[in-house]
Amino acid sequence: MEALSNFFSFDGMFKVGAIAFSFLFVVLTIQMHANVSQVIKSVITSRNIFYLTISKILVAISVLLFLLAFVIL
Amino acid sequence: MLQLTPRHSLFHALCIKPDLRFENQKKDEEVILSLRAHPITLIPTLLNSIILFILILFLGFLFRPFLGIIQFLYLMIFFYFASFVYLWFQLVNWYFNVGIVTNLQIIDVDFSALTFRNVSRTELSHIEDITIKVSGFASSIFDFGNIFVQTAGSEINTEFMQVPNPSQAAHIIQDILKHNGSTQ
Repeated sequence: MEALSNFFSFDGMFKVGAIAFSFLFVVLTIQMHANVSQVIKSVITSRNIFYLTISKILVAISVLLFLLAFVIL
Repeated sequence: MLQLTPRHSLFHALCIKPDLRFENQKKDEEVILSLRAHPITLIPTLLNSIILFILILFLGFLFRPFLGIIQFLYLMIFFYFASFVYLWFQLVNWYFNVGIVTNLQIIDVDFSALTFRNVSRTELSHIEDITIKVSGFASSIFDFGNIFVQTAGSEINTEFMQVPNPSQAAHIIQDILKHNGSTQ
C-alpha cells in the first residue's frame, strides 16, 4: 500500500516520467547513431568522423540521463 | 576530362570537385559535383531551437516552486538536451542528404536520421532532360531551387531539392553530359 502511494505521489510520477522519456531518447539517439554509421559508408567525406563522434556523445549523454533518472530522482 | 577548378561554397552546399568518395566508386570514376540544400533552409530549424531554448528557460522557472532542486536541474538538462538533439537531427539530415554527380553517374542520397536511408543511382547515359525550378520569395533572393533530372523509361527520376545556384549546377551537369557524348 505504501509502495503504491509512493508510486502515485508527485515524486514517484516524476521519476516514472523521467525514466520513460529518457528511455525514449536512448532509443532515438541509438537509432540516429546506427543510421549515421551506415550512411558514412555510402558517402565518405573528411567530416564524417565529426558527425560520428557527436552521435556517440549524444548516445552516451542519453544513457547517462536514463541512469540518472533511476539513481538521483 | 572536363576542366573545372575545385571550389566549395555555402558551407559545402555546392562543391565542385569535392574531397568526397562514395560506396562502390569505380577506379576511373571522378566526383565532379556535390549538392546539398542551401544553408538558408536551416534557418527555420535554428529559429525553432532558439524559441525552444527560451521557452524551456521560461517554463523551468515557472514550475521551479513545485519542484525540488534535483528535479529542476534534471528537467532543465533533459529538455536542453532534447532541443539540442532536435537541432542535431536536422543538421545530420541536411549534411547527409547529398546529390553526387560523377563522370559516369548521378547518385542521390536521401537520409533521415531516424527512419530511412535511400541511395539511388542513375547512369549519365540514361538522362533525358534536366529541369530547374526556382519558386518563392526566399528562393529568388538567395538563389536556390530544385533540379529535376529525368531519365529514360521506368528508371526513377532524380531530384536535388533547394540546392544553391541551380542554374550553375545544371549547367555543369549538362557540360558533363555533352563531354560524355550523351543525348543531351
